[in-house]
Amino acid sequence: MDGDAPPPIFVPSYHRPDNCKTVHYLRKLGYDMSLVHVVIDDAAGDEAEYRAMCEAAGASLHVVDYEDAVRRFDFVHRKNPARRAAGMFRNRFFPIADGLGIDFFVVVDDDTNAYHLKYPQTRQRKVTLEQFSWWLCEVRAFMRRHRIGAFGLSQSGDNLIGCHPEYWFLHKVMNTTFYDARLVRAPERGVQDNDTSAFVGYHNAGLFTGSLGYGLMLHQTPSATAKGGLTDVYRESKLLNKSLVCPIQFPSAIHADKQPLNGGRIHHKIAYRYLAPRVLKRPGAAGNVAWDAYPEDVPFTNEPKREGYSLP
Amino acid sequence: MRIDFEAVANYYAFCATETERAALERLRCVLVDGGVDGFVEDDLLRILRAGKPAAGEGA
Repeated sequence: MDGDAPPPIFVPSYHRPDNCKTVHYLRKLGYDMSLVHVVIDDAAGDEAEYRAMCEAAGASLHVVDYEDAVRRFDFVHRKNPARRAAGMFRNRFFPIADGLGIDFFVVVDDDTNAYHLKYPQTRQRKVTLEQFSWWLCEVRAFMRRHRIGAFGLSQSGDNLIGCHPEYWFLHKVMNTTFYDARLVRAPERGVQDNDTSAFVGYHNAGLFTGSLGYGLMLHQTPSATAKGGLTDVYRESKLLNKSLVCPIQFPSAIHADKQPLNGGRIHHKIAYRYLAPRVLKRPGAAGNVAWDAYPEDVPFTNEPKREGYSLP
Repeated sequence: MRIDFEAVANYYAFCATETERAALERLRCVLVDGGVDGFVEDDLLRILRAGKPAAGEGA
């Protein structure tokens, strides 16, 4: 079904035609660029620049309808004045994938400039193409085997306190996200921090997901202040929209508090004890870890059910 | 409503009748890993161990 070919990679991008680090990184790494799909929206006004960049790199460019994306997206709370969120466009990857006959893909943000291999008590190494492809294929095979709709890899920021063997599994699914399009459709919502909204949604629906705590790891850069991307929106809303929408969505499991160890920042805190069910091993039991254990449960989606729900 | 999933898992494992177990499984208040293709967590650990680069390997 999948063969040995690594999975397609979708890259959402906004106002970074001259600095789309992910495309340049993947090309430099030697990844098959016919598998790289850059997605922009038609309201940004820089399609020609993106087209030139993608042609030079050998990647495909897809343009989504901004108004359609707004109409289909659930902002949960008041929209920012720009009516713009990264998840709004990531949700539109699924119809694009359908059109290309793709049922499994990876999403990587447009500001990635390296992947590293990191293990406890070993030196961090830059990944080679062979290792990178191996990891993507292994995670895909794992998800196919257990019929899991979304899974992720961690980022260097998850290991600020050090890489410890006991933290080999994280609940969060962000930054390098694998999707099985047969089991999940348009999972993101919220004003910002849409990927957090998505993964807490999976957990709260009782679906197994998470990411590997180490191994292949995205080398993180400070994106909220970098040129291009959603920096303007972040400045406009002072990042609080990014932190405080999840507590509105799941008030019994997520609350906002001032985090002294995080620079005194007000940020959400997730109590997984109240958010996600425990995994119990029962050899020989029918089991319900597979997302499609009950066919009526899939595909998981956060797209508004009512037409026009999200219109202003 | 706040559900303590750890308490639910304890109830499922030690107190629940078969009917209650079936209901808790269907509501996905617990995730039961039957190990048909190996346990999920063991499979993840296998990937982590297999992907560990040998000394001198990598850039």
